[in-house]
Amino acid sequence: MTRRAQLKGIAASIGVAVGPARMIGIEHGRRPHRRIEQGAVARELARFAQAVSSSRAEIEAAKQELTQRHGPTYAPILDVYLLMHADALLIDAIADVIREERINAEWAVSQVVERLRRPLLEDASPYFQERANDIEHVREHLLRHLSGEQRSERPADGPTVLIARDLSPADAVHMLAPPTVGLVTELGAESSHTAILARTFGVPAVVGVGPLPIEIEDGEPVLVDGFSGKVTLGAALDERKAADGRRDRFRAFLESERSTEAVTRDGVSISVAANIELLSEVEAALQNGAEGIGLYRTEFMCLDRGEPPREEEQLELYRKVVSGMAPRTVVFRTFDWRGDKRLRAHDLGERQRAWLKTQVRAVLRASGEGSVALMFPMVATVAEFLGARALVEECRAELREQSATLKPVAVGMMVEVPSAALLAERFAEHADFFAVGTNDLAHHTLAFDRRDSGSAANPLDPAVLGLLERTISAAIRAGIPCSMCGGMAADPVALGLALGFGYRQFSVPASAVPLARAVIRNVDVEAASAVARDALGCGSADAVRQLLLERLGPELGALWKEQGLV
Amino acid sequence: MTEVLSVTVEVKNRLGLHARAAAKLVNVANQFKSQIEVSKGEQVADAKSIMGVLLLCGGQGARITFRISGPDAPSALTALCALVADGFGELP
Repeated sequence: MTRRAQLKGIAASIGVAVGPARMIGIEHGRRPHRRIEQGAVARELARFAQAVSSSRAEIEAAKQELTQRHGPTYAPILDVYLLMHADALLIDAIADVIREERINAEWAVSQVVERLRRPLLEDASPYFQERANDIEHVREHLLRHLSGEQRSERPADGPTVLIARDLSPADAVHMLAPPTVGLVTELGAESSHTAILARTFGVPAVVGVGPLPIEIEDGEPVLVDGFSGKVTLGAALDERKAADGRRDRFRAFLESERSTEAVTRDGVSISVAANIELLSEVEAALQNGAEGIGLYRTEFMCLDRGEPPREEEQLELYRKVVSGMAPRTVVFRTFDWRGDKRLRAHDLGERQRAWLKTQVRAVLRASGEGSVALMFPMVATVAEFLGARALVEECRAELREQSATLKPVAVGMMVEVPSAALLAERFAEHADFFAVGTNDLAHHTLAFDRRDSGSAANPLDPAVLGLLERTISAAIRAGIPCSMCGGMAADPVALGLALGFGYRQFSVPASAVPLARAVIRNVDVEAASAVARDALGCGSADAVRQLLLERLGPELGALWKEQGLV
Repeated sequence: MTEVLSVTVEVKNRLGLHARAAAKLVNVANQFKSQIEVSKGEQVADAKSIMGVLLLCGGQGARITFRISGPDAPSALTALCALVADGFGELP
């Protein structure tokens, strides 16, 4: 019987993957629940103890791997998981249930975990939701080890596509490596840790597809399209062959694009830099020929602690990134806690101000290792930006007193709030540079809610395009650099439009740098300007997209088709 | 009768006993032989149990109380107070 289903999720990491499914922690009522004889209790307890110890060993190994790859900053995330493996309320309680209710270990694990999670889920605070996730992740680890499946036994005879509800950080670190060639998760968003790690490790991924519509078994063929966000379960042979071909061609394409130049058809030089979240992405950025780091998102180091690390810890990390990229410039974006408006550059409480200063000091101190720039997110008023600049000056003065050697550091701002784009001319008098975040700008312009999952605001909406045009024009008139670092820059269809508006600097995920250069080489800036003028007169995002497909298609059509975009 | 040492301290970091801080607290508690109880308001937990401490979850400014009894109670008290005063190693 052939069962086939197509899903649409968020394209979280580009590339195409085809392979047999490997289900992680997704059960379709097949978890064995059975009662056991009195005489079998001791054996069941031993089996459970064995699973706990091998699961713990696996997380220890993941912790070491994480420390090796990313330094000591992130590893403590896994301490919580390790401690849970030795916890009386969890582990001893499970053993008690096995003993007293005479049920098998899988059932006991689920019972106890449910009991512990229920009160957490009833509480709306993100803190308790997160803890509920932690326990859920530990349950999945334990169940996997009870099933006798261990990572050391993962099939080495060929590529697999992981399908999971979500990956715990431990799993993500460990499993996003060969033979895993692709990832599909039911949960997750573009900025969830799973998506970030998939991009870092270059594994094509689609996240947030929602509950799987059909039951699929390990080994069934799955096709992951990390360009379009499409997933095909039970893909037919011809689809698989076509996807294999695309994958191989994309690999060859990346290889051939490693050292190409970003010059348009009419000879305009363009700069393509990389967005990164982790130190380990520096290597990928360099390999793909990025001309710098256009957006270094620093929130990842606060994962699971909600607070930034200390100055020295940040400095150590920043120095590595800056010296790794030298002499290219690294643009740091200060902490941007989504939804936590208190951490904007304005209206800071004393504590938040102290955190921001800690980060700014660390960035300024790291400037000695290479070339550094600093920018603030979510700036909405000129007064806020002036406040942020004053804070930088305060830090600089303090550091000078401590006779630290500092290089000049440009101080810029993200243009991602409509007010900033509307007043771009005024902001340009005070900012050393702009970086446009197209996702957030579209989001705020079109009044989307962050919790609107499944749909994203379209930056091609003419209202957003008007703001993009206004921003770049103001920057050009003021003579300050203005880069585009949102999703629009990484979209092979929309990138031509941005060139038409006058954008000459882009920053995209490290893995998308070669593709952006290939698009740029196929665009004629003069022709694109005419398209851009016409786009401003369109009535909808769809009309704009149609216009781009028609007018840029003759030069870019082949490339788009290859990436499955049209 | 075993002597019980008791001290109440204020959790200073913003998220209080968030997961990472809780892990540190439990790791420190586990270095000692003494029995260590941590409580906040009515809630009481074993300081050596991550689940217990996570469920206790102090918000910012929360006051937590340690009750420690056992052979190495004084050094446990010192170590735990130092950890909390230090903001679990996370104050700037």
